[in-house]
Amino acid sequence: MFGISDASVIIAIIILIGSALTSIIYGIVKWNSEGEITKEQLLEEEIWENEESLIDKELGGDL
Amino acid sequence: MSFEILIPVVIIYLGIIGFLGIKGYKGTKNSSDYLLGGRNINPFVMALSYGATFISTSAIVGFGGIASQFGLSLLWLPALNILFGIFIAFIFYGKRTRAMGLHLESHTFPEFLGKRVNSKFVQVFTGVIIFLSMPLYTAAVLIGGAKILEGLLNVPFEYSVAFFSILVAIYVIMGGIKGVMYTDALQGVLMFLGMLFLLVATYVKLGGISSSHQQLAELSQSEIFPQGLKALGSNGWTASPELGSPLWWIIFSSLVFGVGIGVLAQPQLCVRYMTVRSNKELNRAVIIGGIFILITVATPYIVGALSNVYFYNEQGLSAVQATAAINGKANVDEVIPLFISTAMPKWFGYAFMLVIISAAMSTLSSQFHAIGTAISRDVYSAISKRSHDKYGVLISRIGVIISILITVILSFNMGSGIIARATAIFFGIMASGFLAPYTAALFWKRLTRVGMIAGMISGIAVVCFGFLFLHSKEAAVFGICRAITGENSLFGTSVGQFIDPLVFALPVSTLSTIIFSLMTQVENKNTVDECFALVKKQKRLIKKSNQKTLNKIKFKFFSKKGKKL
Repeated sequence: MFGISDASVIIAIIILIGSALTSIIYGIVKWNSEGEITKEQLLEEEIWENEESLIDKELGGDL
Repeated sequence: MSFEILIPVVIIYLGIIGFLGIKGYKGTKNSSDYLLGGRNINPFVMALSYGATFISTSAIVGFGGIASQFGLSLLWLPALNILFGIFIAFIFYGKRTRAMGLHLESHTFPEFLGKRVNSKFVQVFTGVIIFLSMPLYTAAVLIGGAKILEGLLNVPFEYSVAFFSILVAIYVIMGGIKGVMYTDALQGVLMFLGMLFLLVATYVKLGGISSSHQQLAELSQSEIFPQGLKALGSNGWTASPELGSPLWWIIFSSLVFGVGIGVLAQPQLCVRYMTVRSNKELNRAVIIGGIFILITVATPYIVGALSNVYFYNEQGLSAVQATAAINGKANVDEVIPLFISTAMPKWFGYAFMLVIISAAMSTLSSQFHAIGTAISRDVYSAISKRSHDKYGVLISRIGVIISILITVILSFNMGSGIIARATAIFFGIMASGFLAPYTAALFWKRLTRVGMIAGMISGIAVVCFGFLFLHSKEAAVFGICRAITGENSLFGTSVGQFIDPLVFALPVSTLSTIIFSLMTQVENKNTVDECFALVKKQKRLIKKSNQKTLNKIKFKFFSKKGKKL
């Protein structure tokens, strides 16, 4: 692979490129998925409850 | 080098740095701004700052030179740097550190550990350890940068040290972490572009990727391959050394294990997770971090190894022999500068100067900031019980000034031979003392104050013993083992002298953390429960947020089709 025959170095190259690609793909996939989880959202339980009831109200329960 | 071209370029560069420093200063109103950038830093700035801090001059010039000797087996190091230093660090460590740090209202790495187990001792102890050990590493980076300026521009060493110290001091003292991160981001971009060009130009010059690697493999069988390396277990420049040989232990225990995994417990890097507003920013930062580390860390190792092909084709010599042909003395630190000045276009020599200055300054600024906040917030404020909020910025600035003075004094008194050793000692102490307790703090509810203290002290004690009595490289510098036993290492001349002390210290620290935690009770159960509930709740919120987004998409999709939900 790439003119290299040593298995250990090939594994290092695969991990190197694989980790970089995984990081890129992960970042793109998760680009917007986690929403705005701010301090207020984390600390106030009401937000969670509101979110739940809002979805239920908007979408009429389960999908 | 032509000063007519270089001086205007450097002046423009410094002007932009000054502008960013002022921008940081104007945005710094309180302690939170000075220490964490108001927890509202742009994810790309954060990722570039993380990467630029990570990569110092010694990583580019020093490790690149080492790669000219050890070859492509060193690619294990950037591989682990991305896997652990970016992916695992941001996704697993970063998110929990940010959420828990926010809840605990911690602003520094020592403060985070201390508040996690409700212990002032942990905070002060960690601050003292950082204050005592990090200046060694900082001085090593400062000396490395100054040596490059001295070598390329003939600027006297003392003036080079003054140049770096004063320049970095101005924007760190004024702008705090904002000044540091804004300038880091610019410097990170320059480093990335410089390294990318260097990588592509090297492969083009040597006939392509596969061709250049094949030439390097063939050279490993020729007479220019160092016989000394073969005796240590080397299998050539494109292969890993014999398993268990001295060279294998040097590469995999010190460089790959020590630096590759040790990066998870670097205080100046961990604090960056807390500078962003939400997990979304961390997810986005992963993209930049992955690309940045891939290019900036892998390039010096690849170019360093391949420089042997270039110098053999041009002069019939290996890279190290080529440095000896010019200076009369072989020096691995001169391989990369020599390769750039002879193999690359002239204009790139000037650009590379900026890359080197950027690499040195970005690491130095974060180190000064970390040492300064350790001594001011984690030691002084914690012991004196003064409110850090009231005089926070002033105290932190005084701490940064103290850290710069100590580093400058050290850099004038440390020999150049201790640069790599100082870096190894710092990484060893941080990983041995803090990696296990920090990991437990994030992932194990059962961690206790006693467990954390035991893990820290045992790890640091074992790694210090290792540096003084086991690992011959450091033990020879201190000379205590030789004075007592007549040998540089208690392992004598056996292969054990090459094993990095971290290999012994990390398991001891991990076991101590676990055993002492299981023997004692969690004292701040409510806080711990809240911290972990927060992480759990965060996951629920994320899941719910994802579901909500999905529902909206489904809603729009089915609505357009005129179908009922």
